Amino acid sequence: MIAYKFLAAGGVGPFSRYPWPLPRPRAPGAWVAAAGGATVCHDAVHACRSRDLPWWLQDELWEAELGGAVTPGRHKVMAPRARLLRRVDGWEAACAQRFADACAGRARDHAVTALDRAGASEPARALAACATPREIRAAVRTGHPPEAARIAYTMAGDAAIRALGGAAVVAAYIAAHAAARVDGDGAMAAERAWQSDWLRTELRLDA
Amino acid sequence: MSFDEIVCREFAELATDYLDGALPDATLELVEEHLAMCDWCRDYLGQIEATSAAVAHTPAAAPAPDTLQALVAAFRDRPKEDRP
Amino acid sequence: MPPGTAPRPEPTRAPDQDAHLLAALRAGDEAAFAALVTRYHASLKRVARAYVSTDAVAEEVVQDTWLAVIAGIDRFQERATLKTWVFHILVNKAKSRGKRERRIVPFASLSRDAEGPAVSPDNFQRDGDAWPGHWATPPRPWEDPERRLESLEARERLREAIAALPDVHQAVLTLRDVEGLDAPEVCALLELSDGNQRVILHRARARVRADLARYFEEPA
Repeated sequence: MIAYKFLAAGGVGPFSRYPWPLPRPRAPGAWVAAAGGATVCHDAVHACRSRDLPWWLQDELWEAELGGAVTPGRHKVMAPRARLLRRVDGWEAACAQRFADACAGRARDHAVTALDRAGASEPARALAACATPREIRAAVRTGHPPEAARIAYTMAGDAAIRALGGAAVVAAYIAAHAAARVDGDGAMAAERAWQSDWLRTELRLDA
Repeated sequence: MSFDEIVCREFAELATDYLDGALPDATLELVEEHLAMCDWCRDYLGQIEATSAAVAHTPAAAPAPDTLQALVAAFRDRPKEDRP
Repeated sequence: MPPGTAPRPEPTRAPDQDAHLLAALRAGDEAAFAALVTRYHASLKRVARAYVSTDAVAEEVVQDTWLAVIAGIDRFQERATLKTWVFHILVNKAKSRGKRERRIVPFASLSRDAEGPAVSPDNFQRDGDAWPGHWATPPRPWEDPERRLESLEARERLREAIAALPDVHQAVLTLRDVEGLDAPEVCALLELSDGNQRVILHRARARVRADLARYFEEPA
């Protein structure tokens, strides 16, 4: 099965700091096994399906082949072994920034919805006119939302701040919670699906 | 909290369980998702680790010299068992 | 190794780090014995202190322990490490002495929920805030903690922070983090459940971390 792995810069596990064997010019990286040697992630190697990507964003994205029986987790899959096939070059700092900015825009949109529903059409219009995280942050700093929209409004500001800091995974998390805040728990899954689609399209992923 | 997630306040209680590998799988999954997103909890976790390491290297207070002397004397004077 | 941890030196299980010492002790090497006492005296005292009422009594218990080690060294069967054997003697003597003092053993009265969370809820956002349960003020990053913790002042603050912990917390922290015993060994020594042992360890670490954080935030 083909899946994906996010690694920290240099091809190391973001938490384990395990240095993954990288692919060679015409060969995949060596197999990494969970048992008997490489202690990776408790008793399985973890990887993402494309729908799982928004939860795990890191410096590097790699396509990986999983070996053995694959077990689905909540937002990941687990397998006894895996090897890296190729780096997904499209995922780099500029792409991560575009994604973060897009998530900040989504959080803004949810806040605009909340403002409209609360009858605050002027603040809604002003926020909707903000095109960049910088503008969103500035608007939220000085705006006075009605109580019913306060938290969604704050969330939009938080997403913008995090996007300005390049923290894509946090901006995505905020946008997902902003969706739920405004449209209920079901909207969170839809927001995450939107994020996965964005990444799948942008990075031309097949899975 | 209506969402199935672990937030910072909960992780702050679980940091040592996490470091010991003592979390049940379902909890571990939620912790990993949280740490992937939360740089503040990653900092907290690192500080717990640094604290543990610092404690490990705290120099031990030496026994009082006369205590040590008395104990060494007792060691010197101990009845030796016959050994083959 | 659980995810999230940097590779850190694991407490050595086998081979016994003190195996060379055992041979020297049996041969009557006084310097080896002096080294053994110096190495473990403070930790033994911290653990004893969890069972008895004063430092002076703890000191007596530790000295009795060393006398028992001297008497038993030739018969020591090496089924456990030298270190765990010495700590077992210590705990047995401390327990007896505590019972004689009619001291209520603090370990016995422990309950997981007795003291509340290890980290104050004041650190986190509340219901009605945008992010309930998330850090309200995030922990400030520590710059170069290893180097900063080498200073005499930092070490003194660390020593004070440990000394300010309840006796039971000091005992568990000493056995796990200072002496590197693993969880099952500590549970066997102190007759604690795995869960209780870990709750205590976490409380101890969390409090010392908080003290160190305050120290790091003071103007240099």
